[in-house]
Amino acid sequence: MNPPTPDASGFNRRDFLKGGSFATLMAMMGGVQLLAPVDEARAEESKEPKFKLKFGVIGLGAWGREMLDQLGRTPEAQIVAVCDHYPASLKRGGSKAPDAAQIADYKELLANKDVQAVIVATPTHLHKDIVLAALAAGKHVYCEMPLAHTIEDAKAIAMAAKNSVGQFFQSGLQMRCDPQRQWLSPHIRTGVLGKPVMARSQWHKKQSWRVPSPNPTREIELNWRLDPKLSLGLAGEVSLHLLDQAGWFFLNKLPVAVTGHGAIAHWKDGREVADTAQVQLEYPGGVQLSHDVTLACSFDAEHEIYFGNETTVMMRDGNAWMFKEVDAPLLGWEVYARRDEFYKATGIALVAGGSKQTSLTGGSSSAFPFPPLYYALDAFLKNCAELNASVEDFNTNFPGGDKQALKEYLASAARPTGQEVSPTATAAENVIRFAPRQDVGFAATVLAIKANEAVVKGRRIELPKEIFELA
Amino acid sequence: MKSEIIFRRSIPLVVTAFICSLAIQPVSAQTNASAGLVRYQAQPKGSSCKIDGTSNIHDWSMEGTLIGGFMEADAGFPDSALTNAAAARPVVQVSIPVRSLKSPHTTMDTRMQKEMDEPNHKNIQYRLIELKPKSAAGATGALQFDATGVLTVKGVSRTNTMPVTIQKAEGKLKVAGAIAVKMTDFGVTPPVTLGMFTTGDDIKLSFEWVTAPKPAP
Repeated sequence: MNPPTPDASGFNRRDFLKGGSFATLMAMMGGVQLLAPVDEARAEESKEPKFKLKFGVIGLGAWGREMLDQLGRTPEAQIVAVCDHYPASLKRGGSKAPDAAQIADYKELLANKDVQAVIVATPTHLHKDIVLAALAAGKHVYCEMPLAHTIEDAKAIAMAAKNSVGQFFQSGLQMRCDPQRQWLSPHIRTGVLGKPVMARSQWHKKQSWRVPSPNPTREIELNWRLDPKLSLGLAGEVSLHLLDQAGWFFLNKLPVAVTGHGAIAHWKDGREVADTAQVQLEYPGGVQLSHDVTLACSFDAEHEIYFGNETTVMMRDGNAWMFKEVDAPLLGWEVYARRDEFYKATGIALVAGGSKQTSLTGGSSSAFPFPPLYYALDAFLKNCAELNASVEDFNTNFPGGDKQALKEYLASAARPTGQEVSPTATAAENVIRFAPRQDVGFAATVLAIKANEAVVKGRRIELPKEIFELA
Repeated sequence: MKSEIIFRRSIPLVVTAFICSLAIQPVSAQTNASAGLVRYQAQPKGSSCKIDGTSNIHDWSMEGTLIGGFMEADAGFPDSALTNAAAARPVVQVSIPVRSLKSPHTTMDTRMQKEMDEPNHKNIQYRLIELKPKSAAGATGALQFDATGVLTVKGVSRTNTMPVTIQKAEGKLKVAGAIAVKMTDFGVTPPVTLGMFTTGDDIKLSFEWVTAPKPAP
């Protein structure tokens, strides 16, 4: 299935006039809407697949099955094998990819020469052996986050990825591939917030985390998140995405310290892993992120707020709004913006991929209707294909396997893969090409490990910058 | 069974005929070796190529570092080409993968590859016909020539002449040149991106190509 594009046919003269009137009204009120260009180029590219990439998916729990669902939307993805050592999971996951071989042993999947790329969606503590074997087998690898439950394992994965030649490695920081964030990132970095003041984020969801199991052995396998020896807890398994966002999206800096507190506030079933936690990140310059996460209540769900002394940006459910201070300078584009009311505040909608007139009518006009995971996998696919093409071109012209020369060529030929979003490129280009590589995944994993350590110990931990470096 | 017998009996004849043909045919590698020709192979490092173009909005360019191919020339080349007509006709074949040429924008690359029908014509190719010296005999450094050859893009071949410099240093040959062409001469429609960025027909191809003697097996 191709990503739907904004439906221009549903926009009629009445909508236009209505939108025009709304724009006039907003202009009189001083409100503005910030709009990203519609991604026509991306839509055109998506009409028919230029290539097929053959996938194997390892780990068919809930997240692995979600990945199969998202891959199913992508015409370039051909799932040729799925793998889980537990027969019921293998059967359930296999039903989402009926043409794929169902394999219990990941080594057998990796031995399949048809498989070009693998997705590793197993429990965190099982990542290392599988990823190292996959890279050794010459596969492209998408590894879920966190990369590992120890810094040593995470470094082993990241170094193996770094040293591989002609293979694309992507860490599962899917929110870095979210088009809304990719589009907003350069906007925020223009200084529209003024001076960064602080950030706040939360993830609230009432759920146990304990999965019913048919026997004690399976109980241990299924409920690894509740095993403090294997699990990075809420901070590592859930919060790491939001903790990573503040550094990347808001400040473009790494934190210098983390403080944590945790408690078993609700699920008193003998577990040792906190069901509620607070994490405080300190950044250079004194800016702090305050984050809380809980399995005990669902109120207010998930959101992020980035406060500046001139404007504040709030993100919820893939949408964003900006709130201006009364003394903030006029940005100039406000006259076209849609506004939404939030209790006593008015938010200016920040819509990625929106078309101006349809947005003004109040309808949903996002060109990016899928979850961030879809775009992360899409980026992985396209980067793998581009890398495959470069390797093929090199080997055709320079047969003989000069690995070092190939490595240098790929380094010189690489486009923005793994680099920062280019403000001069269109949103479509950034979405397609940008992907978090091993260095970003390693740093986020280290942060998750240290945040969990702070929660478990209930204290402040300093984070020297060297700890994030992939030496 | 009969056919098998015939096949077995015929094997020695085929082998003998093949060996004889090796002896009498002008197999290029052997002949070239006996003629003192050196085969220079394209190197994976040091080469570069660039397409510069215009548009209704701003200039654009695509760049790459992958230039394959080879050159067979006498041991005294390129100095010998200044005075010896035969030496000025080395065998040169060049290949540039279309996909390896990249602009800062993937959209532009995609459109260009589409217009160049990349799936069916994966390489830009060049074959040299002859060099005409422009440097004086005895000149040193980067020697200047006019190179006449056949440029093939999207399967369409056009003979053209362009100025090149050839320099031999540390055993390697470095060839540099540039030529202005029209995309439509090769059946390539100037790409239009995002419905408003219309490229001009005129482009300039420039390159630096590094080759080195092929090591003995």
